[in-house]
Amino acid sequence: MSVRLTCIICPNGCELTVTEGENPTVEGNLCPKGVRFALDELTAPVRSFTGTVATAFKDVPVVSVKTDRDIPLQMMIPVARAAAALKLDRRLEVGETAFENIAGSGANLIITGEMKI
Amino acid sequence: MRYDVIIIGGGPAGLGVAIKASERGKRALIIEREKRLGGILKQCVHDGFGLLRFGEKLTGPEYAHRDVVTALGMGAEALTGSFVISITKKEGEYFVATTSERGLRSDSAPALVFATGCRERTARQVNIHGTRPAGVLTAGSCQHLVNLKGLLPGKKAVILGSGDIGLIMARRLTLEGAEVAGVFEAKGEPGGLQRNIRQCLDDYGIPLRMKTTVVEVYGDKRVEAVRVAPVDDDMRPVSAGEIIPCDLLVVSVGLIPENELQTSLGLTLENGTRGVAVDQYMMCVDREGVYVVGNALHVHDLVDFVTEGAMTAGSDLGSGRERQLIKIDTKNLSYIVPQYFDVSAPAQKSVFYMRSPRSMRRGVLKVFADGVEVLKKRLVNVRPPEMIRLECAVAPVDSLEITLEEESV
Repeated sequence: MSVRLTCIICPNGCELTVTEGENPTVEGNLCPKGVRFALDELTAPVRSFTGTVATAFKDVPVVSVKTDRDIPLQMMIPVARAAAALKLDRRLEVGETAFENIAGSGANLIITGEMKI
Repeated sequence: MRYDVIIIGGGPAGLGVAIKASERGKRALIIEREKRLGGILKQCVHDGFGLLRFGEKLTGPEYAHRDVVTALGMGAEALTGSFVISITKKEGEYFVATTSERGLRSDSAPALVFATGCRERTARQVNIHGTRPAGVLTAGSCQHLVNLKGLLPGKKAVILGSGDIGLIMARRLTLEGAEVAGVFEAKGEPGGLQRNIRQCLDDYGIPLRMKTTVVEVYGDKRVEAVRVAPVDDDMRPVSAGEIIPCDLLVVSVGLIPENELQTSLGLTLENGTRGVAVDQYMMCVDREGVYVVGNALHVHDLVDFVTEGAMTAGSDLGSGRERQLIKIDTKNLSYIVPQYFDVSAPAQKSVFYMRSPRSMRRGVLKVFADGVEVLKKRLVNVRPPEMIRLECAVAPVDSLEITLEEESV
C-alpha cells in the first residue's frame, strides 16, 4: 500500500509517496530529510511547538516561545494548554530557557521574542 | 542629519538593506513607525523562517532579532516610533521629514529605500454581505491580538481564504483553545503552501473546503454566524449553502504591497505585482537612487528571499551606474521581478523572482539573451502561491526573455 504525504521540513514541500511494507520506500524527496520525515510521519509523527506565554509586564503582555526540540504530534495540545497556564515574571533574553520539561514532554520552552523594549 | 541611505521600514527588508549597506561602510538610517524594529516578523511566532539563509528553522521573532542585532551592531541607526510626513528631492538628494514623540526631524541621503511591506485585503474588499458586527478580522489583525497582545478574539472561528496566514492562524487559534469550524476557499486551488495545509489543518482535523465562500455575516453587536455557499468559476454562489454558528470570521484573502509613499512620489505601479518596476538591483526604473524591496515590491512567500533582494539593493546603492535599461520579455508568467535589466552593469549573477499563472506537474524555465538560449531549468510541482527563484549569470545587449513552458509527464 502507498501513502502520499507533503514533507513539511522545508519550503520545497516535496510531495512524497511512501510504499509501506517490511522495507518501506520513499519517493519524491529532494533530500534525505524527506525519507526521515516520511518514516516518522507513518510511525510517530513529531512537530515543533511555537506559541506565546503570558508575562507579568504590561509593555510585553505575552512573549513568543518554542520548544527546544520536536515533540510528538499528540503532545501539541497538552503543551499548548500547559503554556497557556504559565506566567513569566522575569525579563529573559532571546534563546534563554523559560520553563523546563513542559507538560512532561521532555522539551524545554525557550524565549524567541524580545522582552526588553 | 545626512546619510548615505535612508530606509523607510524596519522589517526584514529594511534591515537587509541596512546590513549590506553598513557592511560596505555606508551610513544607513532606518525609519520605523512602530516602537520596535522587526516588522511583521514580531508577530509571526511560528517557525520555518531562515531555512535557506541560515540553514536553521527559526521563528519570526528570532529571525528579526538576528537582523536587528546585526544591523545595529554594524552601525546602522534607527528612528523608531517615527512617521514619514514628506519626501522631497533637491539636487540629487532626498529629504525625508519625520514626526515622532520627539518632534519633527529632517534627514537626507542620495539613496532612498522603500521597505514598507504590504497590507491585507479586507472583508469589504471581497464583498461579503450582511451586518458589520465585531468579530470580523483579517488574519494579520487576529495574529496581532493573539501573539502580541495575548488576547483570544473568539471561541469559534470560521476562516475565509486559504492563504498562509489564514492557515497558520487556524492552528494558532486551535492551540489557544478556540474551535476552528473550517477554512473556506472560493478558488479551486489553495492559496497557501501545501506544507502549511498539512501541518496547520490536517494535523488538527480542520476541514478545508474549496470553491466555497462566505456569502453573508449574521449578528448585531457580535458575529453570531456566517453563511457559506459553494461557488462557480466566476465565484457566484450556486446554492443557498449552509449557516455555521461562530463568533469570529478571520479573513485571509491576500496581500497588496503598501505603496502610498511611492505613488505620492509619482512612481507608477505594475499590474502583475502592484509594486513599482525595478531593475536587477531593485532600483526603480523611473527614479534614480530610489529602491523598493521586500513585500512593498512584490508579496513574497519566504522571508529569506526578502532579505536576499534587500541585500542586492544594499550592495548597489551609491554605485552611480549610468543605466541603460531593457524590458525583460516573459512568456507564460504572471509576473517577474525585476521587470527591467540594466545592460550597462557588469556581467554577474542576477536573481529573478517570478510566479506561474497556473499549477504544472512539470515545467521548463528558459532564459534567452539576445535570442540565444543561455539557461534551461526543469521545475517540478509548480504552483502559483510558490514563488520561483532563478539565478542566472547573464549579460544581454539588446534583449532578455524568460519563458515558462509546461512539460508533459
